[in-house]
Amino acid sequence: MVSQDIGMLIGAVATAGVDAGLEGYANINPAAKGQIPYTVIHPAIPPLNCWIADAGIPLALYAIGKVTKKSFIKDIAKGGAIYGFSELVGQTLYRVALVSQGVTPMSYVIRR
Amino acid sequence: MQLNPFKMISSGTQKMLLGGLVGSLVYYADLAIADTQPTYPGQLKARLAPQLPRNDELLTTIAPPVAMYVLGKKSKKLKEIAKGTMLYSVPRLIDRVIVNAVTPVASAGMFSLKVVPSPVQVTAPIQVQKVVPPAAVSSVGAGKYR
Repeated sequence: MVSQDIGMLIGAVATAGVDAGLEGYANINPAAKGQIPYTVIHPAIPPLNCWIADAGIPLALYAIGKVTKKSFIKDIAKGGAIYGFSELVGQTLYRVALVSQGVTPMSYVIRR
Repeated sequence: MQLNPFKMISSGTQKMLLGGLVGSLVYYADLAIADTQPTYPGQLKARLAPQLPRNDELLTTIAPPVAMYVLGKKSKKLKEIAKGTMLYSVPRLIDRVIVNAVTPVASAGMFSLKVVPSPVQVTAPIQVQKVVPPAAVSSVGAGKYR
């Protein structure tokens, strides 16, 4: 594995970690459900915490990489973006499929 | 001025993004089928160990990157796609394993966590007042939980 690949893997794992961390917090504190950042606009759209983790973290990392002009941080952001974009697209399609079947999708992935 | 974000990224990144989407779609397609089809095989919903994710989750996170890697040995284009699939599936698998290891009874319900006994021991028995004074009970009151 080259340095770029390692950076991208770190970014993807970090994004997934933030996603799981936010969901884990909601699991431990059910009172947080429905409050910011756990708000759900529509059952077919991922909740706000997913957008923060999957889109916000890569964007923030990219901004840091742009300001500091370090290509390794940009690689980390790229890995996070590949994970986050795929996760948001997949989760949206999953939610749309469930809502179209009359099933309300669970808000959090940790339920399983 | 270029406004199409997919044209702003390099060809290699586009292929990796495609690979990530492949991994994500396989994973969520399985979840959607498992959640909507009552005839979904029970063996796939089972777990090898309580700490591990469900069998179908293991399958849908391990099989796509392995399959893409094997196919990627033949062409460079597929190699990039395989890399993208790994970038989605490996963090997803790590995430699922950690989550299930931390919450071994997660399958029982959405917010069911492992109950850890309190290290503080109650030494004195708790006195419970068995008789409620009649004045405290309202016969026709609209209590909070009525």
